[in-house]
Amino acid sequence: MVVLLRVDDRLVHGQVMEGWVPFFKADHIIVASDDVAGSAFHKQAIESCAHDNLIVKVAEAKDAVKEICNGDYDTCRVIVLVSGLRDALRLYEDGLRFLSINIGNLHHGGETRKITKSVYFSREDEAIVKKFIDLDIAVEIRAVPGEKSISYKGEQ
Amino acid sequence: MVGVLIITHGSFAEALISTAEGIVGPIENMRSVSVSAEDDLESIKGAVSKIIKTVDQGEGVILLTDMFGGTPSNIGLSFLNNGKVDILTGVNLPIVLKLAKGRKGKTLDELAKLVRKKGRESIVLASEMLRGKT
Repeated sequence: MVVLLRVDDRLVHGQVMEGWVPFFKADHIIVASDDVAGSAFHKQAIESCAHDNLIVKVAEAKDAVKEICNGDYDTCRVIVLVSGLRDALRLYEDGLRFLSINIGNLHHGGETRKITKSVYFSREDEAIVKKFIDLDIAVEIRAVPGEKSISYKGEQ
Repeated sequence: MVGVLIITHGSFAEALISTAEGIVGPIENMRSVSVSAEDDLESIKGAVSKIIKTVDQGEGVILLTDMFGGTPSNIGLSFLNNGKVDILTGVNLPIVLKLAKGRKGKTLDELAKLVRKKGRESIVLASEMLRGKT
């Protein structure tokens, strides 16, 4: 089962490894990213964060969805990481279903709106988030488990 | 002389250098970058790239980071360049002190392996060490 779907432009890093993995007792991290899957070096760097009790895997978005929907991870506790909201939407469009989405770190160049100190939304992000909210998917903004969860309800 | 750049979460990197300087005096060609939770990755990469150029005297640069798998290491890895830039994770004070002096005349590769050894050997469990001696 997927215990957390997280948007984080840093992908696998301290907040995930030291915060969310123990919090959810996760045994798998799946990084769903076509960009990373296409870079042998980047893929290897991320997958080498695995340890005895944690498998870290990089997959193209469509493959990640296929494997999860196929039931390959039904007996596992999986954290799915994407680097941006566009990839999160792709997972949904490819058939992955989820009740909530966590946004940890999100930055862009160009014009953005500050949501929290580590999350900035572009116009496209706002539109995607609105889509999720309309689909009754809870949008949570929280960097680490110990922090207060902010439930995002859309542009005020 | 091989250049040194320490990249860590928070102000650890800066504190490592100032602490080491408190022990051995001013250290040449060693700089720090702090990564905070709210920083944008691209801006940190820009800062790292700029500092690598300033500490590189033609003999390469060693990047020291706090924790493999953390953002500072992830950023460091994107600068890995055979013979020119290498990354050593798990920085501690003995490593910084070793690099403070005695970098002259060593290649990047020699130095990186030497300080990795030094860093590992500096971690000691006192009860075991004392038992071993008696």
